[in-house]
Amino acid sequence: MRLGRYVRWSMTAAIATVIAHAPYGTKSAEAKDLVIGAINSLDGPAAFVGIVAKAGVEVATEMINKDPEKYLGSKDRKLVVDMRNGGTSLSDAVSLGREFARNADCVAIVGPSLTPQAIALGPFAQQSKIPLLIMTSPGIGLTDPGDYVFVQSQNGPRIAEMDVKVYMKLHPNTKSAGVMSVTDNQSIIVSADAAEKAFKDAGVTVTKTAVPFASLDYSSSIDVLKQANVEVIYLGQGGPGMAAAVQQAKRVGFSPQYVSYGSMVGPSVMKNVGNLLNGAIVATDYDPNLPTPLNKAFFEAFKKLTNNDPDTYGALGFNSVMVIANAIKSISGDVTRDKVRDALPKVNMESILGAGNFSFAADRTIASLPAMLQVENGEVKSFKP
Amino acid sequence: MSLDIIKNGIVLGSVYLLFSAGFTLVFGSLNVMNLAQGALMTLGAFLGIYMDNGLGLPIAATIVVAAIGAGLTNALLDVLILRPIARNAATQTGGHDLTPIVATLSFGTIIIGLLVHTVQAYDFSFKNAEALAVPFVIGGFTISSLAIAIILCSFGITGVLYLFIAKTRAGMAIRAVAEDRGMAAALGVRPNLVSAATFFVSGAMAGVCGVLVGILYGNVNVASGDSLLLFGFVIIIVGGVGSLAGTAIASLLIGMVQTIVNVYFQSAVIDLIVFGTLFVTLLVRPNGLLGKSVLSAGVTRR
Repeated sequence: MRLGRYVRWSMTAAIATVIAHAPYGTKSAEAKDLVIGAINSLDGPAAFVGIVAKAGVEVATEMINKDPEKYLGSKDRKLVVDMRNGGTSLSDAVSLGREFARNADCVAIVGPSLTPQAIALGPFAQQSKIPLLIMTSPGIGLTDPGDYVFVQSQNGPRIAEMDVKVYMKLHPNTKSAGVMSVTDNQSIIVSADAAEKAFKDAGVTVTKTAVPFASLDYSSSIDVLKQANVEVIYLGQGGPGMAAAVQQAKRVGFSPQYVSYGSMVGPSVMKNVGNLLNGAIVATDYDPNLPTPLNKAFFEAFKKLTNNDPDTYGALGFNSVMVIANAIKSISGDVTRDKVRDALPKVNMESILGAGNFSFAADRTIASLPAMLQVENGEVKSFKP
Repeated sequence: MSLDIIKNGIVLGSVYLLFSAGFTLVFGSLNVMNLAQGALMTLGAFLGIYMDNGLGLPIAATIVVAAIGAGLTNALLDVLILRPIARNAATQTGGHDLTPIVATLSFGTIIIGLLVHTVQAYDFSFKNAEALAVPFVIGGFTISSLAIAIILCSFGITGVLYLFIAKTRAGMAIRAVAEDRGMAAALGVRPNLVSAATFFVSGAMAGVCGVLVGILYGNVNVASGDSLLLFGFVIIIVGGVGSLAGTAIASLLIGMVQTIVNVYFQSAVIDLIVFGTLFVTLLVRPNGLLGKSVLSAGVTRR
């Protein structure tokens, strides 16, 4: 009697164990869900990047799952994005990466929003042999950990140099420039340093200031740059900081030209201070005016989802999922992490980034050039220097 | 040093004071480190944005609504969350010294989470107050009505609060509760009412701060309170925990130091100097500039 109870208990425990471990150990034959882990900052000072990127990811996922044959190579495949909030800490990003790596159905990770998190996650992804497509971070050296790490956004210093070169081409008599940087965000600091160097290389006197990334107080910086009579400012900040800086400059009757990256032409900044940015030059990943059906479809779907126009980060979120989907499409049979890793360098697809095409360079960073934009009459226009 | 630098330092110090005074009020009188203060400021700013952008109310009405909204929210934190925690701790049914801090942090996170859900990642600016922020020139010195308003509000509210606590019967009740809650109750003071009222005032100050800072900086976003919270910590420690006068001095000190460093030195050293000031103060005056000893056994080492 007692033996029978013991056997029943043991069988129940064994079945429960098998059920509990099934999703991690095996992939059921009928399920074709392909999981992508996504890490974005959905709160804190970088939420303006992560939340918009999340919307882009959602738009891409819906578009892909409506026509899996076209985007994933089989109507039996379905993409599932496991979106998580990476916050701002390095350990959170790595913990989420570890969680995704443990999930056998997860074939790749996209994200995170912050460069320090991306730097922290890269070596882990390489060690765990799970493809990581760094979504929005513009840092340098991000792919150094190895062949499982890819970057789809433009290199920040390269964008800063392009900004300055284009500006100097249009305004060759510029004598004095300002660089506004931050004290605590590595990717912005290196980009601002590159802008400073580019101005100096062009023979321009540079005055540099910096505030903490989350700060909105630019009063001292504005005073310093105004007293230095700078004609142009490279604005290295997040979107809210840029809007605040431009607003505070205008209040003291200071109206320099601005050059910067994608955050400057986001919907919030344009809505709040777009009319103060006329003439601003922005090298960035995404041109909202790109005249392709794919961009039109993305633009409309994004607007329907969020009631706002997409910005660079929304486009990067969208593109990240499309890139992974394109890699999956080229894989026949079971989709594994190694197959995704092998397929990613060969991706060459229509995209909403840059001039409309996406591929990776040999170092697994984006190969195509950034889009150039200029603000005219408070609106963002495509710009061919 | 130019007058503009001094003005910028004083305005920044006033912003810090407006934020930190409510922070130190609750900590000094109720011994609660309210980490939701930054979120309450952000909540006040967004209530203001709704009144301003959505309903087109004048700025005075906007400030009142922001103050009441943030004040009531903070009072709810006390009544619904902190009070049951304190009750459990008093009856030894559960809890930990860190529980109230974690509870306030969670409360702030929930506020921000709700704001993120509502406004997404988008940032806003006040439309009906821009005229206040435009500076005018007096004898070569430029200042805006808003900067004057912030200085007056900040020091005015803190001064009134100081006098209220030091000179009135209600203030005496707050001090009594701070000293010994049980004894105060035995003498007829209603500790729960005092506590809720203190939280309300502290939250209202955060709400006012949110609107004024939103106008001053020309931008309101879900992370608006984050940058002030850390400096708020430094200020209340440097000023002396629970001391409104110390908080006022420390706010001006940190605001001025930050402004001068930004103008004359490599700005990357701002944080080093501000937080270095914290260390130096802790070493030279462990209780802060005007604070009393609040060391517990857990902090002491022999």
